[in-house]
Amino acid sequence: MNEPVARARGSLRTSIMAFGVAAVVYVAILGLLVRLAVQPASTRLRQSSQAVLQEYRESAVRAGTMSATITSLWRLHEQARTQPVTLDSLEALRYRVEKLAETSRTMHRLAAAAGAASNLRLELAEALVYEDRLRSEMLGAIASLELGEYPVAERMLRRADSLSTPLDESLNSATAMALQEMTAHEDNLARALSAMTTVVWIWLLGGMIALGSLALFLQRRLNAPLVRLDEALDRVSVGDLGLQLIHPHQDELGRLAAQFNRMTAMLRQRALDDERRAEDRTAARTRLILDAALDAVVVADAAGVIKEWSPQAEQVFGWTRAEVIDQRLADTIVPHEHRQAHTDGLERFGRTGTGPFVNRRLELAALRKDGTRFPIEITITPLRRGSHTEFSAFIRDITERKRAQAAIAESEARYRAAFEQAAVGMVEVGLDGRYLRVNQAFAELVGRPASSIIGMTIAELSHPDDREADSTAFTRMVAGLEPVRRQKRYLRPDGTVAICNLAAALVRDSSGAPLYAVTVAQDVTAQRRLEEELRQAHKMEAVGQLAGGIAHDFNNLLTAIIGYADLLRSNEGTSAAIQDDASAIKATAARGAELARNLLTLARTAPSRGEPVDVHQSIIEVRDIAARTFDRRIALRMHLDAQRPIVTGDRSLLTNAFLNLALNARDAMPDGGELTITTTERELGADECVRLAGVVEPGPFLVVRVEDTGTGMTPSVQQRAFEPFFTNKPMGKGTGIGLSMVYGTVRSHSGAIELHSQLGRGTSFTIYLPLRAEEAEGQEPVVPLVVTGSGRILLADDDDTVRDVARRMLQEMGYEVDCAADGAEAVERVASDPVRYQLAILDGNMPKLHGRDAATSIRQLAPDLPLVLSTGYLEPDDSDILAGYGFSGFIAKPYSMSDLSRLVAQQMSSVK
Amino acid sequence: MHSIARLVQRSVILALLVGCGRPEAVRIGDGYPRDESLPFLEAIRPAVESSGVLISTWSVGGDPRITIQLNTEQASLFADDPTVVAVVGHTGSREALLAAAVYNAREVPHVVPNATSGLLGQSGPWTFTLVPSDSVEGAFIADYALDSLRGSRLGVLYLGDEYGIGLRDGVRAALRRRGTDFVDASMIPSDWCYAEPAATIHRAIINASLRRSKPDVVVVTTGSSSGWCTAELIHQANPETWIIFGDGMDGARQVPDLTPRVNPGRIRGVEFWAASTDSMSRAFVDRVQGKMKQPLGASHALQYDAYMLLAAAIHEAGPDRRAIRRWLESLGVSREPWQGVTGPIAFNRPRSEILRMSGPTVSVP
Repeated sequence: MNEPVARARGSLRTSIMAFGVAAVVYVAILGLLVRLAVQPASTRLRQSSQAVLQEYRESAVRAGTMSATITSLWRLHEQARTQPVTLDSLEALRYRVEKLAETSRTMHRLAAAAGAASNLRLELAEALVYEDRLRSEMLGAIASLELGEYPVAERMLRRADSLSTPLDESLNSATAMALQEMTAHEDNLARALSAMTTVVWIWLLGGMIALGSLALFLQRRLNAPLVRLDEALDRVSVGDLGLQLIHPHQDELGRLAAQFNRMTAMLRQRALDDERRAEDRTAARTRLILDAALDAVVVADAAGVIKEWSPQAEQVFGWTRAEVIDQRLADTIVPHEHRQAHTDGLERFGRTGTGPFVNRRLELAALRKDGTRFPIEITITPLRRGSHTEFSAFIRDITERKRAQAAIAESEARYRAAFEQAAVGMVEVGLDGRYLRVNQAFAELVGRPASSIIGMTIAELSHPDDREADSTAFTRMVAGLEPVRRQKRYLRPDGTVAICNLAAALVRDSSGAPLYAVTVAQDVTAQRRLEEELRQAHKMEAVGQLAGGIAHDFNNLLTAIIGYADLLRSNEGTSAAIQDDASAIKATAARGAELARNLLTLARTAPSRGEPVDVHQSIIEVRDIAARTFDRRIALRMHLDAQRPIVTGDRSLLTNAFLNLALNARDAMPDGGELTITTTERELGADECVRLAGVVEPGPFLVVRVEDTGTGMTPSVQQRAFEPFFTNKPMGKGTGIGLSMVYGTVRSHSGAIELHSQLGRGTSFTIYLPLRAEEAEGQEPVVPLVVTGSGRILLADDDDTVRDVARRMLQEMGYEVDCAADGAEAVERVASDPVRYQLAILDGNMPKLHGRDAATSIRQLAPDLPLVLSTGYLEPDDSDILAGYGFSGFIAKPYSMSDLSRLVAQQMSSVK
Repeated sequence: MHSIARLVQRSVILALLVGCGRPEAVRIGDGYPRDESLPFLEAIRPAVESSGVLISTWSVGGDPRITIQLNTEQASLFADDPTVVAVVGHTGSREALLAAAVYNAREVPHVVPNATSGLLGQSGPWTFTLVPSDSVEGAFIADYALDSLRGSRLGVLYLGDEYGIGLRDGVRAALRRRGTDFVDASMIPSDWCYAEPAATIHRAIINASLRRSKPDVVVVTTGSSSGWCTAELIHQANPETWIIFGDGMDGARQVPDLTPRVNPGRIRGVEFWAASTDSMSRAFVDRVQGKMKQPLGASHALQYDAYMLLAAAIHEAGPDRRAIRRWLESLGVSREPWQGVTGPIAFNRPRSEILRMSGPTVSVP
């Protein structure tokens, strides 16, 4: 350490102030020099220049005036020899000369002359003397001329002439002197400026040197000591207290350096004291820590010899402190198989100062005193004490923790297996709404590979209509408000929707903070379909019952109309015109009957004719109608690929169904588009039958798809599309029974129908119809032929008109007819004479006694009597139970005379 | 380099002044050529210097006709001398105007005893005149000619210098205010009129003027060098013509022997002071006239007043040029007028009360 040296005394503040004062004086002197030396010279030059210019001008004017006056006087003098001189001319000249005296003595000239140089003033004064004398001579000459003293005037004029030359010379000389003086002034000014420039440069140079000196001074006396002080403070701040500052001056910084040195000396002493106290405290504290530590603490030297052994170590390892102090770790607690690695690690640390086990938390095996192995968690920290190193080890027996971890791992494995193998979908969803883990069942549920789902959000898989509800429910669940129990829809990549019952709950950590949500998703899509189908069936049934009730009365009316029309036509006495009218009436009534049948189709109650139908023919028929009537902007495309498009059913109903689908497509394409009808054959398995709501049985099916590129339907419209009397078309454009009838037709043909629609993209209807086993047979045309016969027939119908027309048609056929107005009367008639009748035709729905009940009674009275049920509303399945009531046949209202004649003939022949 | 040399010179003087303290000698510059003023100056010096103020005399030599050279150089010397705190002089209007230009530029208090040029009042704030201006004197002459002499035809013979021209204009202005004008105004040479060729010129000009205008009163604005010969020429033409001299003849009390043909009874002259007016004047005459060995005129009394006035100013205001100027300006304003031989002195108004008319043989009417 160096002692501070004081080489000089002084005050930095005084030095800086002296520099400041010197700088101010320096600048002031420079400004004073400019003010005193340059500015007066400039002012004098300006004044001299003005004076010279003024003098020159006025001198020239006066000289010219005087010369002209003398000339005028000479002329007057010559004139006076011959004629008198007028006073006016003389007065004018006198005035001019006197005026010259005034103008030559203005204050301005005098003042300017006062500032001129002495030689110039002398010359001006001399010129003024000449001027005065010349002016006097001229005034005397004027006066002499006025007095008529011409010789005197001549003498004066001659003297004036003689004076004008020296006056001019004097004035010119004065002017020249003035110019010289001005030049001299300019030279003086130039010299003064040059000298001042030199002085200023020297001054500035001196100033720069002074500034440089000041900077150097400040650098040496102020900045350098401050930098040294700053560095010293930095070193002190990092603990270097052995530093001593040296400052050669006893100024403020010198005193500061001395203070600094005193401070570091004090700090050094204090640090030494603190260090000693700290070592004492550390030793005591270490002992306390070792005793109080929950972990076992072992301290060993660089050779692995135990130097400290805490009470907890005694408990963990079974060795007492006395037993292990100065024993090697390798001989006590290190298992045999690790002892070589332990020795190598110590050796490497001693060589390199590092090691793989140092300053890390490790799990190792250790030995107890009794030789048992157990797992420990150990943290080894090197302690450097001077030149030697020790290691402290904090050791924890983790036997129980390992057991718990194993149990948790086993539990986790069981949960994982259950999760992966669950029949229902299971997912783990992070708090950010992203899938963390999904099982295979869920992947199949949403139609995606499990790996692709990881990382996706709930919203990405959800049906668009459910996303908001999903978000709300998820947020409430995460907030701990309530678990999720709801039904939701997933949108598969192929556009289909999976419906699930969802149950989700939060999984929390030990502190209760939510970690993720576990969700169980049970696929209830098929169940929902069945429910939908059931709801649809119930709707259709209700509508069908309504339609059936109407159809009964309607068909009665039609039966009467058709019957009377047939009677008119069969009457030979009827004119040809009336017969034509009757034919028209019958045809119109037949269309009415068709309409009634369509209505009944809604409820799947229309009697299926059960005939083989070539579906392609129906489609072609529809195509022909569409080609004729649809907007030309709608392109019709047919892909009829089915090899055997034969189904069992009602051709007209199917044609109507296809036509309705085509009309629906047309209405969806107001601006044109494409209507495509395709047919294929397909074997439906059980799964697909389930997907189709279980309404069909597995087997071969004809698949008819009617597609358009129209406006499409919203999901809500799709949901109600098949609902009777539901329409989204404008008022008057749709009845709301078109798609309902299609649905009814398909269902009446034991088929199924699917609807797919995307808003703005179009709609497709896919119809599945069971294929007919045998080839379709050509449909034989029904020939309207009336078969005649004989015998007595009991006709029971509560409708008077039907009863009357049927009676007349039967009589027309050659039969005798007894009529009954209700079932009870019919029973009475049979009871009165059971063998009287060869056939009984009973209306199905009569007052007092229903047709079926009447048949049952009659069957008891006359077991062999053929019974025919006449009804406008009959469930197809009812035909199987007709026999149970004793009916041998039935005829649907409305019927024509030929239909009735063939049935009656058939029944009568069976009796025979 | 000359400027720098002067700067160094002044700096040295300034340093000496600053370094050596206040100079013991405080001087008043005498703005009259030594030959002319020395007897009078020696006569009044004891009185002036008794107040502790010295008189710095004229030091520039040369042709006395070269007025510009002499007066401006002397004025510059006074201005350069820091011990000279004020100046009295110079001889006439022209000389005073020349000097005033220097003193106002160099800021030296300048008291003009007897010059009447109205231009002095425009010279600057450092110049103070003890006599009324030529316009005031002109009005006094015109009133006297019209009222006292009952003159009806006034002519003017004037010198072609600042004094003569100024007085001519003063008389003309006064006549015009009273609704008349002079009948003629002729410029006469300033040369000594008793020698040729000036004598011939004077005679011709004056005779021509008299014949041309036939005046009954002639105002003559000359000095003593040509005044009496002018008067003689006028009275040669008509002895009854009234002649009124301006103050340049200083009262025209003594008719020289060279002019026997003048009619003293028809001569009057403007003067600013008369020796017998009061006790103060008599004391002044007693103190100075013996030393001068000649009669004292108004110019002497005015010069004396100027010196004593400045001595009092130095005594009261201190030997500082600016302080002296402020002291002079305060007379009649914040300070009572200073009482001199010629009467109360103040510079806030013309001293028209000192104007009087006298003649060589007759008393003032």
